[in-house]
Amino acid sequence: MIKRLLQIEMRKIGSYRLFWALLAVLAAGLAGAFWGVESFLQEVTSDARQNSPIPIPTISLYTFPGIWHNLTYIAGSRLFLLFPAFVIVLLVTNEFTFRTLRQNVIDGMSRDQVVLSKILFVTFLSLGLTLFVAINGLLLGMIHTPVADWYQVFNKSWFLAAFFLEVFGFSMLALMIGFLVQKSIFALGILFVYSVIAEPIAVHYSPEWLKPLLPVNAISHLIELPNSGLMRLFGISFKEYISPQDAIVTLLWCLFFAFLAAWITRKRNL
Amino acid sequence: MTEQVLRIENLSKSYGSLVALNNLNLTVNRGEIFGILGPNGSGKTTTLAILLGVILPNNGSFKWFNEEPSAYIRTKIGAVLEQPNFYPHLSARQNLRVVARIKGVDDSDIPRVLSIVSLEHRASHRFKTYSYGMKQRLAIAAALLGDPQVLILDEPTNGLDPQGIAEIRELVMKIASRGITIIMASHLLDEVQKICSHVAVLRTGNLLFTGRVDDMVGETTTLELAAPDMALLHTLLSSHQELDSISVAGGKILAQFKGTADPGAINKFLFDQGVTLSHLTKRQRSLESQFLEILNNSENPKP
Repeated sequence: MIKRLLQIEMRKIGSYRLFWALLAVLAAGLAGAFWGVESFLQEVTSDARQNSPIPIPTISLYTFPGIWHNLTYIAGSRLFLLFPAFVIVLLVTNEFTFRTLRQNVIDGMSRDQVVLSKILFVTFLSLGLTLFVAINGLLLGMIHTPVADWYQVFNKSWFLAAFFLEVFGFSMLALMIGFLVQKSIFALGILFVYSVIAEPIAVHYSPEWLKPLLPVNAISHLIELPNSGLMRLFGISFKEYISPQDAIVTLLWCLFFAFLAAWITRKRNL
Repeated sequence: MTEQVLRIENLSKSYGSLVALNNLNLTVNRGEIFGILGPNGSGKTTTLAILLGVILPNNGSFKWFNEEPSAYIRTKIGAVLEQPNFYPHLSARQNLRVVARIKGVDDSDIPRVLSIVSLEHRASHRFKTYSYGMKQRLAIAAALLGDPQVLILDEPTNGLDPQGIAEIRELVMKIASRGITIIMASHLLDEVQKICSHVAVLRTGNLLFTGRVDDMVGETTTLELAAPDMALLHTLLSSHQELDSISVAGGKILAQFKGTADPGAINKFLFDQGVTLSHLTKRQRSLESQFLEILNNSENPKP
């Protein structure tokens, strides 16, 4: 059944130009950021380097195994996460706009299958993006790491798993909003306002215990800012691991989003 | 033995205080061309939408092929509900590939259904470039994927030009001639009379009549008469025991008789009274007058 549902979704994409255009822009943006970030950082820190009384150690962003943390941190920024999420909002709300969700049910999908097929597509898209990051990481790492054994290459590659969870979690939020709101403009607006404005404000005023439980906050804390040489110098250190709590909170939110989307779809007249 | 394709029991649906469907009971048997007839807002589309799983009823139940409704059962039914719904950015063929996968039908069936609706030459064009008639035909093609035993059509000729209407009707007759059961909603009496074998008449969610189209026609007989002495003819007819109503139109008298009055007997009755007819025609009562009568009767029930 999973294969059938995924095939249905793939056939719906077909030659959908807007979908492929959005994906191409995302891929180009990610590749550009990956391959350009080091020279960009060198440029902006060159001044500091010259005036620094003590030498700042230079470590390439692109050496194994640190590269996994660095690249997934860049790819997991809000800007890049919004892209696949917008794609999902568009694909979900399209089904309402074109009344094709109704037609899918008439043709023989159950309401649960309609939601499940979209969740499968979110999974597929998240895996695809993770693979894209992995390939870029392997290429950049092999070019910039002088000597590397397999252990060094794949140590810390679980940051890829965390990145997958970030894309998946954020896109599931988008999926739920899409099923709830139905209209693409409103859904895109709500997703943007909630994740970029509303939740950060809410986090600011929340008690400490609540902060890590809010969905977007939990998702964006899966991968924290990599510690640079400069930060180490000042004794600032972010966690260099993925906290199981963040992962569990994200997964629980994903479950909630999935059930909410399924529940509302079961209940309403299409 | 007649095989039940669909049985509806006590089906009801209301939106707040608005009753869209009130305790509907219906049976459709294999091979019938079943018309659901009623003015706009009578509950036709609501009924079909419930049968196809997109609207949830408040009460009642229905069975397809004696089975409880399920997504799987729906893959065995071809349906066009209201306007054609497709992905505008996909071509006709790509859209049919989506439907085929949902229905579990092999892609090799796509050329067949495209040729039935004569869309082969436009199959690779995007749906959004289609005219309304072509969209409607594509919807029928999608419904025919996998050669379903039942075809559901909702106002299939709505919004089409006369040529499109003729094409769709011809297509429906062609499909029906292959023994496929068709359930068709329409507000066009003429359409139901031309195409359907059975009919259910709905008004504001209530079932007023269900049965054979032939049974609905012919409870009364209308004769069109003329004679040199129209006044005498009028008087004589008015005295006839079986007369139901009489009117004058276009220089002729329209006389409606109860039951199946024999024009020969009427002629003899008039001749015996000294009136020689110059004109006598038996009028087949159209479904339209019958339909209007059913609607009127239900509105002002006769004592």
